[in-house]
Amino acid sequence: MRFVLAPVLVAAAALALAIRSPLPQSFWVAATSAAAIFAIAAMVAAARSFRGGDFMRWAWSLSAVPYGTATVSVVAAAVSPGAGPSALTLALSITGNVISVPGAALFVLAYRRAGFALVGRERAPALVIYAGGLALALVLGSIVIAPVVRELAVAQPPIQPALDLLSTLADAACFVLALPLLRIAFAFRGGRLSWTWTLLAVTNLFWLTADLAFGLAHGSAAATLVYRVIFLTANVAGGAAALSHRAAVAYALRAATRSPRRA
Amino acid sequence: MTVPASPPAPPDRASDPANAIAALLAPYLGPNAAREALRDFCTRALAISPESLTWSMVPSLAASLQPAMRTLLGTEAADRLTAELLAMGQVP
Repeated sequence: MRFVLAPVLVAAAALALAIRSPLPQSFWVAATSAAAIFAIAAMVAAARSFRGGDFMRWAWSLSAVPYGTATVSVVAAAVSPGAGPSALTLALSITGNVISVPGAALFVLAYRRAGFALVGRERAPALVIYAGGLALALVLGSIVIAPVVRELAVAQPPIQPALDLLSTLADAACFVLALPLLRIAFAFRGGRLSWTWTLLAVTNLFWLTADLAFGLAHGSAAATLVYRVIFLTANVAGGAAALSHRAAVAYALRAATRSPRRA
Repeated sequence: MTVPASPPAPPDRASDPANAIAALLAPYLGPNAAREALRDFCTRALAISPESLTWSMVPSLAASLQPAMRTLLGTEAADRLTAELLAMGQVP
């Protein structure tokens, strides 16, 4: 439960601070970078709680990559503002966006790989949920993608709009993957692993939601604030998911150190 | 979705094996998924219902559950949980 509190508290604190007095752009860059660094550290710690070759070690290692590439890109942009995307930030951005999708997919696959399957009564609602999620992602994605595609047609060179398009497509894919993640979290309800999958689902839902808020902001201070808070919260939720999984593993190791009680 | 902060007491050897194994898995999978997993794995590995499970069948069930727990909790935790399951079956 305490892991869910982290993103909620961060979102509440950021909103409370911003409502009292407008915060400068530098604050949001610093806060989001700090949240991304927290997520990277938490995911590396989660990966290290598994042995080499364990499925979850791969899943957490891969999941940390987009946070790392995004942080380096932000730092690079802060060091040379207005320079446009360099070859390094271009490569980082493509890598991060492409890896974010299999990173999320591995947590969906883990459920099947573990041998758990949907039971009969869950199968039909699940298909409806996935179809609904895909439709919602297409609608939300198209709202964000439409202006990007228009910009792609006129921008010279079209590097930045192309990156934005790739990022939105990856975020839409993560949005769709959030639905099976939520379903797994629901299946695990009452267990420690439920928090991990819930927080992962929140993170993956928030990327496209942040894109949407950004796309609809059009200079509106309120919409920009919503975008920034969602983006910040998504980073913290990713880190909290990793820490909750690490804690579940630690709990299993503690639980298994006792000898069974004799009858 | 409340789980205890410290590990629960180990299941009693005298208790029903299906309940004992479900209780061992529940802190991680939750009570519903733990029961479903037990039902699935009993059917797949032993072709029985959980109600028919006996302590002598627990080693076979533990072996079939181990890869699942390894995927979700890692090799070390899965090996320890499997050892605990086996110990539950051996205690007189």
